[in-house]
Amino acid sequence: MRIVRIFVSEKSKEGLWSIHLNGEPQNEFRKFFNLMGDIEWLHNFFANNKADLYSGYFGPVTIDNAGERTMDEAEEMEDTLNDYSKAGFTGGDNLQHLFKPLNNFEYSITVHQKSKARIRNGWLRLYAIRLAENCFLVTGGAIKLTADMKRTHLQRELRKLEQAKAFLRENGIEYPEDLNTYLHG
Amino acid sequence: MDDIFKRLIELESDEPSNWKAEADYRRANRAWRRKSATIAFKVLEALRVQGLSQKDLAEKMEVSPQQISKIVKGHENLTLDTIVKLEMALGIKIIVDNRDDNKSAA
Repeated sequence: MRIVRIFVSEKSKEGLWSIHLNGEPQNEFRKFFNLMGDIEWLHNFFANNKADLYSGYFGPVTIDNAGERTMDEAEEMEDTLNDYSKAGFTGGDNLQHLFKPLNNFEYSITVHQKSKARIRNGWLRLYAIRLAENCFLVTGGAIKLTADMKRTHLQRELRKLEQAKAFLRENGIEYPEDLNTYLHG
Repeated sequence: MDDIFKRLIELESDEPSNWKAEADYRRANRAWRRKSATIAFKVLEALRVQGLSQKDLAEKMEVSPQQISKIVKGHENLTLDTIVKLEMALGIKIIVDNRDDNKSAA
């Protein structure tokens, strides 16, 4: 595993980093936004997760509409982050407004907390570890069609969060014991 | 924060992330990319319904499989010529004009 700088303020040290897994052509952050714009990938994903798509959790949605909705969310998320990266970190909205604790029932923000970014009422998730105020390490992202984290692709995201925490620990970046359970991503 | 930052810099990969350039490109080219995405969904659905592979489509259109791959990813700024070839190869309408509506109503 390696760490890649996405955008970081040299002055305040705030910003976004990403993990880059061994054997992967792209870091997890870049991979996420590329996949969300890859129609073949989206079509396959929704075809393979049809039961969840039609289950009504987000209302009945066709594959085409699901694709449109995903692209809308990805664009909003990417534009927001891109605007942060250009505006810097002086006042106004910041990363901490976008990333919330992973566990929906966790209201306090702590260091090395597993976190997620999402658009309000959306199904896209960007998963990250909070390293400090306005400083996050992205570990991956997913389309979350279910209330829980039981699906295979979501379990993979939880494993990556754990891998990233282990990597930080091995490399001398310490964090307190995990406060989260994984019931509600 | 300074300690964490120092440690992150030490662990940082030399490779640039390239995300910003890609994000700027996606934003600047959003309008046609969304149209391309809509066409890609139509093509993928037609392939699925007709039981055709991308290779079959490439052969029908006499283009390379790589070009079909770009089309179904929604990354191709398609020419009208390519759109018409897709329509003919798959027997679907991608661009529907008023004359089509009038013909079917007549």
